[in-house]
Amino acid sequence: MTSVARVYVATGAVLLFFVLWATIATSPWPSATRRPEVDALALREAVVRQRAAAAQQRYEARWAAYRAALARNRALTVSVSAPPVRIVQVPPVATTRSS
Amino acid sequence: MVATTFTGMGTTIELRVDAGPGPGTDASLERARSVFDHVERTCSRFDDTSELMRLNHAGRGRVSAVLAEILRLALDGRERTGGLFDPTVHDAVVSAGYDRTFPELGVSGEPVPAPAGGEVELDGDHVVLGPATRIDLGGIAKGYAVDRACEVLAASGPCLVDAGGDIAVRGTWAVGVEGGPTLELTDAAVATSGRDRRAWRAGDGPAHHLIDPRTGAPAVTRTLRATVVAATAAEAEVLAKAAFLGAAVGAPTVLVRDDGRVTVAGGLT
Repeated sequence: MTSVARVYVATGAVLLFFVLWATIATSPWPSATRRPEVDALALREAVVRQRAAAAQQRYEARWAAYRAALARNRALTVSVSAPPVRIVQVPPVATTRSS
Repeated sequence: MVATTFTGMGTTIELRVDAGPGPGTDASLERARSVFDHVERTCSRFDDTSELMRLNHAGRGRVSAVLAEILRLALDGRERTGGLFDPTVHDAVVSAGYDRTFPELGVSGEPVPAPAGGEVELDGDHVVLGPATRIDLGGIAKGYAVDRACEVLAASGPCLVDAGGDIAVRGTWAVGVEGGPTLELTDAAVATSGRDRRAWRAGDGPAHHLIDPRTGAPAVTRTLRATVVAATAAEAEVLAKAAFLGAAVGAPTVLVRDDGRVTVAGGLT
């Protein structure tokens, strides 16, 4: 083998080494065994997402109820036409009490 | 001044007319008294033969003009107060232990909250109650009777009708608020909702007749009494209940807390 051929072979070997290394490092094939901690994390994420959606729904319902109650209270406040009344310092004829 | 006092609707009722004695005044007083008898016979929840209890048992039917009118006032009140006043708290009042006339009441069992907000359809004189819905018109029926009796008496002169604290006046009268100021009312009415009367022992703790429709149980509040002035006693009843449960009702209001502190609102100074 000539020295030129040896250089080509060495270069090819180095190139092959790096290509194999890069291929193994990226591991494009699926893992043969499932990792339980990853499964547990995925399950936990699903549960948290579900709880967040439920909490958001409750929050929106309560906000809507609060807005409705606020509107009713405002309507109540403006809907009363109060008769004339004032505080006086005279003996009362009758007294209102819990009935 | 002519006055008469009698017992009705579970309380003491006083009628006063600023007029001289005579057959006309006596007739007005008698007619005003009969208003209370009629409303009590119609709306009592302690009499199974009353029109209200027959409706509660049947769940539907045609009702008299008086019952329809009181029911309409009550449903209007529920609408206006966002449900703080609710005539469908009957089962909650009974569950809390108030299941017989107050003088007959002793210690009752542990109160069990019962839902309010029952469905009631009122179409003219035809009423349909929702499933498990029963009506209690106690306070507002008394307010209605006070208003009608005051109308009757007003024909004889300035007058005051007082049914256990639900008061309506024609003319100008000084009316005291228990634990609070004295108010000068002119052609107006006043009512007080409080937990210091019609209260009893239930289970290990105290109970009272003012149900919070949001919980279906006796209201828990630092307010002892709420007094509200309105154009009619029926309206004052509704607003006093709402004020007792913490609503700002926009009418002249006196709140007495359980530590004795008094707050006035709604234009009172």
